[in-house]
Amino acid sequence: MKFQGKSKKPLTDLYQNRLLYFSTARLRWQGVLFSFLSVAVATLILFLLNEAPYNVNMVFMFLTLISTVWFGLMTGFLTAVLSFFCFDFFFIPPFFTLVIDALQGWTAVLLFFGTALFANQVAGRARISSFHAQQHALEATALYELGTEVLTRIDQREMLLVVLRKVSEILKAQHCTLYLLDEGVEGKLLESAMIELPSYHNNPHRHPDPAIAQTVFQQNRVAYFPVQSNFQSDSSRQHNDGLVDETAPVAYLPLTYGSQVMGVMVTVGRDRDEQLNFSVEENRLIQVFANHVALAVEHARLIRESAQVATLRDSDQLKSSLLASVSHELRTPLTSITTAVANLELYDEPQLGTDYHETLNIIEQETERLDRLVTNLLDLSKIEAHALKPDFGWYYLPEIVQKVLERLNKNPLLKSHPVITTFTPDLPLAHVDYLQLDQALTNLIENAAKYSAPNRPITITVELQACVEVKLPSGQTLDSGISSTQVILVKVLDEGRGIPPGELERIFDKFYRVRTNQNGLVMDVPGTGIGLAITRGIIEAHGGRVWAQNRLYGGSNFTFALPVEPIAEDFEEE
Amino acid sequence: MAKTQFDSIYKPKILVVDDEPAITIGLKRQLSSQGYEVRTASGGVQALEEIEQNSPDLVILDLMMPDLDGLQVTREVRRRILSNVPIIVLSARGESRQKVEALDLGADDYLTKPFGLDELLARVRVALRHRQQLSNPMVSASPTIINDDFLTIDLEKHLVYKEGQEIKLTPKQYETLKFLASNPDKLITHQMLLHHIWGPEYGKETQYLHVLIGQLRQKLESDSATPRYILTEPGLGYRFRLPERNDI
Repeated sequence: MKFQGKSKKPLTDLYQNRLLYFSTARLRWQGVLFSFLSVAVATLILFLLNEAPYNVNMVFMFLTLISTVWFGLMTGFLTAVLSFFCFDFFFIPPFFTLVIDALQGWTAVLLFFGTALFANQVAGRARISSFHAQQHALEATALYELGTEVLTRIDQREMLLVVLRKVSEILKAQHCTLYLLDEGVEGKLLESAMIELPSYHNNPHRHPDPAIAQTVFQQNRVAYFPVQSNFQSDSSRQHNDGLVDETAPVAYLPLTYGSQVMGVMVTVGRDRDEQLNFSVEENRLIQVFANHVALAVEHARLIRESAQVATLRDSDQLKSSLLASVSHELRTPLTSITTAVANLELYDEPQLGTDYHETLNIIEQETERLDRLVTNLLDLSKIEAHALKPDFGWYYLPEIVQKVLERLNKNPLLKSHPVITTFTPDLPLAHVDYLQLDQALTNLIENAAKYSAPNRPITITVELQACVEVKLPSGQTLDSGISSTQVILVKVLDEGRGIPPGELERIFDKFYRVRTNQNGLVMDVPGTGIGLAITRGIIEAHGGRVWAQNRLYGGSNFTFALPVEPIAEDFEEE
Repeated sequence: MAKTQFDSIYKPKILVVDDEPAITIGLKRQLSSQGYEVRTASGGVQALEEIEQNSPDLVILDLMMPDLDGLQVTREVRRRILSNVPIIVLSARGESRQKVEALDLGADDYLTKPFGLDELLARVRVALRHRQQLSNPMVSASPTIINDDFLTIDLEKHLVYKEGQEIKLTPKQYETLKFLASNPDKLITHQMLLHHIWGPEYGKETQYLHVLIGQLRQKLESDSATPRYILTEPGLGYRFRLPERNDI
């Protein structure tokens, strides 16, 4: 509001003197009238007063200058010519003829004419440059005010409205509309995001036309519609639609920022009779304002985006810290129990008997199981909250497999299964989170042990394969959805009961459990149904894929593929 | 001040810091039963007072504490108190970021909760041995030859033998092996290795290390899938282990 009050005055001042500043070079009827009248009146008065030629000379010179300054070069020139003839006709002897007999007469007349034309030129130039100077001052003020508006307004809609108001005020536009980019739909202008000033909706005008705006937007080109040619292209439609003739030129300008088009600004100029289109100056101004509006739109977008980013970051941080504190709270009692059991182990007195140690063993193992369960649940909630961020490092996958087996070998579940491992030589290092991959593998191996009878072997293989050679159960190859051409394949094969074919996909869903085997018999394997969901979450967080298949001669095959990424080796080693 | 391992009367002093009494009480009992003198602190502020007044030989420090957390305590100990007392941090799984930070700040080792007694005692022994090496290099100068029946590293002659056969190593490979082997059982973080081998301007380029360690393992280990000497500490660094000497 503050800025508006200031700007009003210079604007109205300028436009009140419109007569003074319009049609710089062109002859206008006001000018011609002034020219004839003033010369006629001056001649009459001077003739009646019988003034000396040098006074007449000065009066005509004065008239020429006035008409140049007020009406422009051409009017001034006309006044000079008229004055020349009147001077010659009435004041140079012989009177009432255009004939001049004395040399003195010639000198007076030609001197007057030359001086008048020269003065006319000088005054005309001065007038033009003062016009430009005022115009530039006006633009500079307007741009300054626009900039201030953009910087001080927070609300995007409010800010753009103020900017539009300013633009239409300076351009004397009847109407201004802004079409903004629909951020949801690629390359589509959003009509609901349209901002206009003043409301132009119920008017029977063709402009602003969303279809034209869309075209201008897509082609990133300016479109001007002069007054009369508005409907020349499709005059037949005019009557059907009940639209009226446009009395003002219209400009459609794409709002560009960098190489990006952010919207379209439509300006309907003021009504005019003598000019069909915007003047060169106006065009330039409209373009300048369009650039500024583009800046304003970009500014608004950046403000919105940074607010969104801040919100996202806050909620991410909240999730992570919440999970971390839950993790701490759940683990602390487990640690206390483990420590307490270890303390009880220290009492190694014979009278306590074997029962004592067995009981402690049970507590220890069950605590461990509870710990794994807590780990799984926390991992699952991390996956659900999209807070599972792998801490990537370069590791040799067989090493991870062996580490997992070494740990699981203490577990009675795996002790009863022989494990066969096959690693192809020269495997590249894999870009993985060690602990997460450990977890994914643990779940797969435990799963294999759980669902197969004791003493049935479990086979684990790690190999390198080209994506196109890897067949998924759907029959497709792995070349889509993986970022590399080669993958490291890790397979966990068991000789268990297999998976009913309809459930091969669903077993990776959380809490989903296979209740029956392939023969339709109900199974009684304990579990929570989160292990495989976690494995999938982890593998997908690594940009890989995991799937299950039934083996040809019984048992199941769980495979995951990890993309092979090039390792940066910019140091001088072999 | 400088006590040696030969001083049979001297009991190493261990400070256990945790806000959970169940853990401080439990650890105190376990460590006391092994002949250590144990004091406890229930928070970071108390821990710093204890360290300044009683100068323990080892600190076992929980990372998550309400008043002053383990990271802040570690920073204070190294930067303000200027003590190089070994610090073992206790962390829960899922706190790996804090763990790495603590190690970068100067903690020596870590234990992930829940941990067993054996694991705890092994870490305590390694940390105390390293402390003695630091405080009294005359008594326990690092050996010039490290060997078991499979591998021999001659630090004086810069030679490495595997089953009696000499192995050719590049300068970086040898430097890495030497650095790891002269700190047996100690956790060597990625950052320490990178600083030592590549220079102080390195610290984040862990992929160099992974490649280098991979090459070393292929030359030294009989099976690089189950390394016996150079063990991976996931996300943290490496540990060199001599199986025979440490009877594991």
